[in-house]
Amino acid sequence: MLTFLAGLFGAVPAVAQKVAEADDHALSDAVGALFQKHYQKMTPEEVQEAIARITRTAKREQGVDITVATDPPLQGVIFGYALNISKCKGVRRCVEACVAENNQGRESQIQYIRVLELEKGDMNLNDADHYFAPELVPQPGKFYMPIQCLQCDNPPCVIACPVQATWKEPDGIVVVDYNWCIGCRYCMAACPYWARRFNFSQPKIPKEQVNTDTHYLGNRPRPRGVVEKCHFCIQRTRKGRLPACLEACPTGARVFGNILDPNSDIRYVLENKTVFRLKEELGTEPKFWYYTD
Amino acid sequence: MVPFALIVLLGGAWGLLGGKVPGDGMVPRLQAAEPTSTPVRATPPRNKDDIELEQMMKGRKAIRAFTVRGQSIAEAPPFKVETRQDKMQFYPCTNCHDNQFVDRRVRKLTEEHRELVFEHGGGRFWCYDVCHNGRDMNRLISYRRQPISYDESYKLCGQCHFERQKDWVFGGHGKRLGAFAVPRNIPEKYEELKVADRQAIGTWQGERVVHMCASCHNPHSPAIKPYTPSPPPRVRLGLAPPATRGAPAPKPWQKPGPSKGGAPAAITPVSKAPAAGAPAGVKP
Repeated sequence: MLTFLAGLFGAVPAVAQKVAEADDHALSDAVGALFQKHYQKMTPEEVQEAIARITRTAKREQGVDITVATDPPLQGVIFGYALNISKCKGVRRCVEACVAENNQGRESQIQYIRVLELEKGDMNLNDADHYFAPELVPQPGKFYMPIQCLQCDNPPCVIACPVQATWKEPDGIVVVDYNWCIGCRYCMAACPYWARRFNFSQPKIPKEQVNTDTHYLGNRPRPRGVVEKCHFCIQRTRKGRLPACLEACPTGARVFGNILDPNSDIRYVLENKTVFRLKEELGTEPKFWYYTD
Repeated sequence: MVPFALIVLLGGAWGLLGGKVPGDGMVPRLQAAEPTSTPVRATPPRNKDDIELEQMMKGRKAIRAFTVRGQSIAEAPPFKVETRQDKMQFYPCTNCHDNQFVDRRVRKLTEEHRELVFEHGGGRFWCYDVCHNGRDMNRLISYRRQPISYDESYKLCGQCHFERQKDWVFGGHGKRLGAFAVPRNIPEKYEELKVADRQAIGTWQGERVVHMCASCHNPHSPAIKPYTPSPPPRVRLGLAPPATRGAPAPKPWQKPGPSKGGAPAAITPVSKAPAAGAPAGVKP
């Protein structure tokens, strides 16, 4: 009797394996993704299992082979970003580059960066035109200010999240664990800068446009019903590369770097140029500055 | 009581350990930019002219050529620039110019260099001897009559644009070479921009390799020309696009002032009519 039961229970894992492989792990991946732990609480082995689920799902559903990195934050690095509004001409190449780099849904038209057109002399963001589409930019009498997640040091979205699916990493980037997010969108209500986007539908990307270099906390394929936002191209910046928006800007208006390094570009801008941040009075301490020449 | 203390202790320990999350080992820092096919040279290469000028400028901290920390461009962190001479269409110039006959007349060029539009300095510049050296056409010339190589042409620009040169040297102006490195002729289509010029991997750390002034600014008409913008974001499903904004209501400084010598005109309240379509508060 005991040996029979032992044999039965011993056979269960093998049976489960056979069942899982029959449909290419679709059910086990879905169940595993639902019941996996919070990213900060997973052991390295569990993280690797989660990554295996993600890569299998991407292969099965979209037919692409992706790599999911888990680069930890670099020591002695806090990222800062500055944008020169004297140089920004509202070309919106940054928006396109971000969408190409970060695997956002194309049908849902999710764009992390929103370029605002304001009359010169007007700093009231409610007056901004988000949908400007003239023949040529810059239009006379206007200036342009792109907004994306400003990676606050005192982020209201982190305080608002009821399940702690979003948190601030030691290198300053505010990240989201997409498997832990429940899609309540409290963070979207809390963010004063309209930085967060919600996947109302399943993100669909044409196969040849998928960026296969991904990071677990960054641009890996997201499911429907989670919130996402700019993450300073975490898959690039933690490897030492520049964010896609910076590289695409044709006027060189963007400056990125480590604000703890006294010799970095961003430190020069913060020390020597006229810098300001949006909505300083709220005390969110964003790490995204705007400056003028 | 004891569990609370335990939580505080463990939380503190986690924070002290850097708050790292489990994952791969530390990724080593990039040591240098990947070897580029664009030749680069270390800068600033300082010849005796540069050293003499630096000595002369050393005591003068009050002017705008120094950073808040008191650094001049000679004390900037080292960086590299891409070379320019190998990209010039007509270099070496002595293929045509013989360095002996110099036509200094201001005229419309009809034989060569016809495509150039001279807008620099509001059109008040002429070739000799502001930038080009009639006796040594393979190099530029400074106002002090020091020859400047085309690979160091930023020194020429920095004679007048010294504040911008300071910004460029320290990183507040210009761009690093990168995957989307943008030369002067910027393609209109985003697809072309994406694959063009993947020579160096743009990095925020490690070696700093930057574009020269002339990579983005045509020295003869340096102002950046207007672009065709990429399409605007889509309006949310079910909402109407915002009504076309007419001229906004004039601000107080835009209205005609009060007549002199009389009582100031009454300030009329400015009321902004809400847009007919989606209200201004609607955001993504």
